[in-house]
Amino acid sequence: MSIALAITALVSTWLATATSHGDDLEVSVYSARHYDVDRQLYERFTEATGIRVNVVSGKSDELLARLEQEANLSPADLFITVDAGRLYRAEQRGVFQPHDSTTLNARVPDELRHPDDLWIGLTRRARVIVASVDRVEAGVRLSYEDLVRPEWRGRVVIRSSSNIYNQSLVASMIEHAGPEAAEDWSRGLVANLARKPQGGDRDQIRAVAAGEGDVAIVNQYYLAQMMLGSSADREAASQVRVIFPNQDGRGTHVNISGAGLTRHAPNRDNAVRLLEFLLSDEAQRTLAEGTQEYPVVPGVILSPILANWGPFKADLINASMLGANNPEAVRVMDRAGWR
Amino acid sequence: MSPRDGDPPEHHTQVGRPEAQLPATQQPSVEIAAGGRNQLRSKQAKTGGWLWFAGCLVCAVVIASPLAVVIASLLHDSGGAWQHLVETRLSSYALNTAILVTGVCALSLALGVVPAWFVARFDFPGRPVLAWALVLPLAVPSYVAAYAVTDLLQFSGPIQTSLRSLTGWTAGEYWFPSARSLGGAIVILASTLYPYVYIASRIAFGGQCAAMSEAGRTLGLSSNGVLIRIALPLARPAIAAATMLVAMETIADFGAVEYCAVDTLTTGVYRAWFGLDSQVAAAQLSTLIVAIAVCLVAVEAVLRRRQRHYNTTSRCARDYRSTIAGWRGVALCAVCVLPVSLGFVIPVSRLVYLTREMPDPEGLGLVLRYGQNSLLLAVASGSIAAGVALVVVCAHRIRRQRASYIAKLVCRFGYALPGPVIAIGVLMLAASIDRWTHSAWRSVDGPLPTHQLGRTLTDLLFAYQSRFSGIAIGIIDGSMRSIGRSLDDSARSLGLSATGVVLRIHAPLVRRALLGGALLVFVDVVKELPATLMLRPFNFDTLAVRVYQLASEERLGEAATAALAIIAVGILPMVLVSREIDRGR
Amino acid sequence: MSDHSIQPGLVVRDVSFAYPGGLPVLNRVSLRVAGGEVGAVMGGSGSGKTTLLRLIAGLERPASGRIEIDDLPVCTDRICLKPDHRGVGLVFQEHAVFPHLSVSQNVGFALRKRSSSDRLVSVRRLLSRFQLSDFEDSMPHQLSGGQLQRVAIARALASNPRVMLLDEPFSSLDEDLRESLANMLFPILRERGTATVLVTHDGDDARRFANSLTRLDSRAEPRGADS
Repeated sequence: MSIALAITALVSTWLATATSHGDDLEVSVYSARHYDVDRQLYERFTEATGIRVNVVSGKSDELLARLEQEANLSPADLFITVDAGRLYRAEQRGVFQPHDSTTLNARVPDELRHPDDLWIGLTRRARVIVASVDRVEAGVRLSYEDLVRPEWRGRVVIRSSSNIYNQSLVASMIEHAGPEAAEDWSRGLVANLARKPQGGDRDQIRAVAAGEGDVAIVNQYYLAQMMLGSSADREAASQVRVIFPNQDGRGTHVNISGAGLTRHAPNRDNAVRLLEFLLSDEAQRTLAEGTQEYPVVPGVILSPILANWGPFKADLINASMLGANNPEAVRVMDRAGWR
Repeated sequence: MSPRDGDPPEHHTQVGRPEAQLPATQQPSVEIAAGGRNQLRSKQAKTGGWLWFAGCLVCAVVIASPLAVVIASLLHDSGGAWQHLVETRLSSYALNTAILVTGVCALSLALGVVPAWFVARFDFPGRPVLAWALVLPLAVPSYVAAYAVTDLLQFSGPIQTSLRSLTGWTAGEYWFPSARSLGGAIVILASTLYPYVYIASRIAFGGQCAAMSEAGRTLGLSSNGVLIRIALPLARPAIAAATMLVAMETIADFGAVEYCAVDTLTTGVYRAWFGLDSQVAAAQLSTLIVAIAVCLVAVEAVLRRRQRHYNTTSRCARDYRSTIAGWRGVALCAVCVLPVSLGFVIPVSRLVYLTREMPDPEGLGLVLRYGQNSLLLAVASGSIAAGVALVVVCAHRIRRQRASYIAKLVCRFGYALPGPVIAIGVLMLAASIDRWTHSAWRSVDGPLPTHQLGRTLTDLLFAYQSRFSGIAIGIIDGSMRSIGRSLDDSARSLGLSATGVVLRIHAPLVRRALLGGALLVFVDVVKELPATLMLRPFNFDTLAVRVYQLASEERLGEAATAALAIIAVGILPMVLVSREIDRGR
Repeated sequence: MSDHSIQPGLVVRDVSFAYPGGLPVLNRVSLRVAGGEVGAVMGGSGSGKTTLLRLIAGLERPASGRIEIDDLPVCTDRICLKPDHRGVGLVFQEHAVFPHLSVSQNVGFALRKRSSSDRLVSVRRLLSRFQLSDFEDSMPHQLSGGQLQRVAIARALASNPRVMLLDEPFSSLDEDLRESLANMLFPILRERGTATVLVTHDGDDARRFANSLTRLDSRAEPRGADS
């Protein structure tokens, strides 16, 4: 009896998903972004153009592995990921093809897209310092490098070195100052930590709010999201303020989420159209407001919170460099004992 | 390794065999007990069963193939990645894994055996509810438990915050246990995995003859003495086998362990894969994990062999439960309430609180749709696993060859492998198969829709079987052992073919075990995350995926809705499993 | 009324018992077996024979009544001794030999507190009396039903109980084995002055081996005490 059940179950699942994909009006996306606002945008795209958007979301590296395994038989048209390092890794693995769209290139600044059109940025994220309202004086200007100084001993919280955002931050330091300096910085940071690295960026913010530390390094959108979140989150967010680091120097470290056309994309044109849609002013604005990220297209209206924080100087390093230095960054952090 | 596993040795004379045999009208022809490899088998048993044997081998090959693929990639050079690993991390991975597994097993034993003894032997206030409630934590995914518990216990969480406001302490002035630690991971994992030990213990204790403990009493043992000297030793093989299961799950766990910031071999596989960008170092670590899995499965097989001598006659009366009233009854109740609270009540209440604060932003409709997908996968996988288990176990039963014995064991390794490892193997395999079919087809027809396999759920179901069918196989194997061989022999001599014996004798007798195995696989599939993330087709998200999507954005509060849905889906099967245990007494 | 001081042994007086929520199983049953004698208990199924043994052994507590062993009360309205304190040996129908222990470990089970050399001597003596010496280190699954029954009996005898309770010990044995087992067992019991209760459904056995007979009616009415 269970055999019969199994067969029926199998057949029905097969039928349920083996829908005909023979028609022309679709585009398939492997995305490491899994925000709800993305889904809304895809729906809007489908309404506007009639092109269906198929999505598999997941972890960036896993999707990349899947793309590699599938090779020329892959059904994916677009690969969207967060963090420039991952875009670089994908590029190195030969997963992308040039989109060759001048429209796209016109909309996005040079440092936020690949020189040979292999990928293009969709949103920006700044890795900022949040400081306790009570225990850190207002108006102070800080840099990442300041945080390794003795006066910050036992006052810093940050997440694990396994997180890609930290890795990219260290990668940018390697690019600017070399690996030894980056390792010294990492060691100094670890020495100043208030607690073992644990949790995500929001946990760091909560830790500062609760008094476990005085400063943390986080991506700005987490703080902005908390300001719009549950009452506990809003409470915690009100206990900290934002400081854009290195405003007197090279600028705050900025990372991107981006997308690229896959090499064997079956629906190339539809994919380009989707990219153009995502980089339209309207979509950029929706993205920014939905997730509290910064858009890549200049001149797009920011979300109220971000607008309130004002403009800042961003590190103009090309995002490719973040990827190129990633393996070295991981080794540096390992040697520095950054968990 | 003798192929004669699991069955009483056969002697010339009538020996003390389990009563569950028919008085055979035709005794099987000469059976000689010998230690050697070649034995005369009964004439009937030698014929037929080829189809089942082949089926068993096919299952084993299919289930083990992702594993094999992963190991095969060992043949490549790994560059400096392995070196780097060995220098910095390998010893701490291995040490952490060892401590984690030991701790989880020990704690699971404590949380599972003692309540099982109380529930099996005594009547006390709350027992009827606790009997099935103790099984519920299996419905909670380990990563969900980790989220809930760390949320509760962290510095900015409700417990420490109220503690600070009560006492006026500030940061650094007091010590508070951290959930995000090796100790925390041990407690969290044990609280969700102990039900395996509880179930095995309950079945074992419940199946013991009343006469055993009563004989012990008349021979001078107190009640506690009976537990220690009689009930526990008799139940030990079953309990130990369940503990091996817990160990395998612990090794394979990724979500909870990573969240608690513990570096184990499994998280090391991840790090090697992505951080150090070396597929091959990851494969090497995976092989280490596989080696450990092999050891565990081997130990379990040895323990099962010992178990066969402890099977009691089916004629034996089961124990009455003695009533314990008053404060002692309350104490028993409290001891049984503790594991349920740890593994179920506490996480679920926190999740309920969180979901009321911040429900899933996409609303219940989306969650329901994901739930449908989860259910579909789970039902299919459970049924398939039961079928596979029946084939594999019965094949060995019909034709007892070394090959089918090994096949049976091999199918169980998957359970100790982390989901990502299996998923990687499946990816590689599916891709190769795809390319092959594509080129084969192309020679016949025009261009074909790309990646047929990936468009359906085959990849995923395949991975689930590789990972989980071991559970079903273990359960059905255990149940099959209590069926005397002479049943088979009589049936064959009465004209049934090998297939007939399986379908009309074996299957009905192990029906309960089949259901139990299918239900446990069901629950595991609903909870599964890593392989699902990697292998699912387009537009097909499950509840676990939804939890991950929100959790990875650190929106744990909003993830609570989907997490509760996962648990809700798992509760009913667990209650059913518990009822089956009761009925099986 | 006999004089208790001349004939110690087992005295069961007016015990009644009912399982929770069920019909009464025993209703004011009395039984008296002197030391060294064998009292047979017969009755149809459901008449409470096994229950009576369990009450004497202390595995259940009677609703009312009194049990004395060698003039010492072991169970009264106020207090009932636990089974581990009664000095009663019980041989079950299904022998209940511990499968995880060897034959000698089973037989020596009640002698755990003694020194191992002491224990070994007693065990070996019993094994030889029951012709089990060859199986000293065997495991129960290697033995036949009849052999296991002898192990169970030897085990119960090892601690030298004052009262021996036998629950249909011969039911699964054929005539020859029955005869030889009885010849091994009853002389020992007589030697030691142990009061023995033999539950059986076979009238022949009762006649052959017992000094007295008590019948239990299925409706739990006592038909009479010692005959």
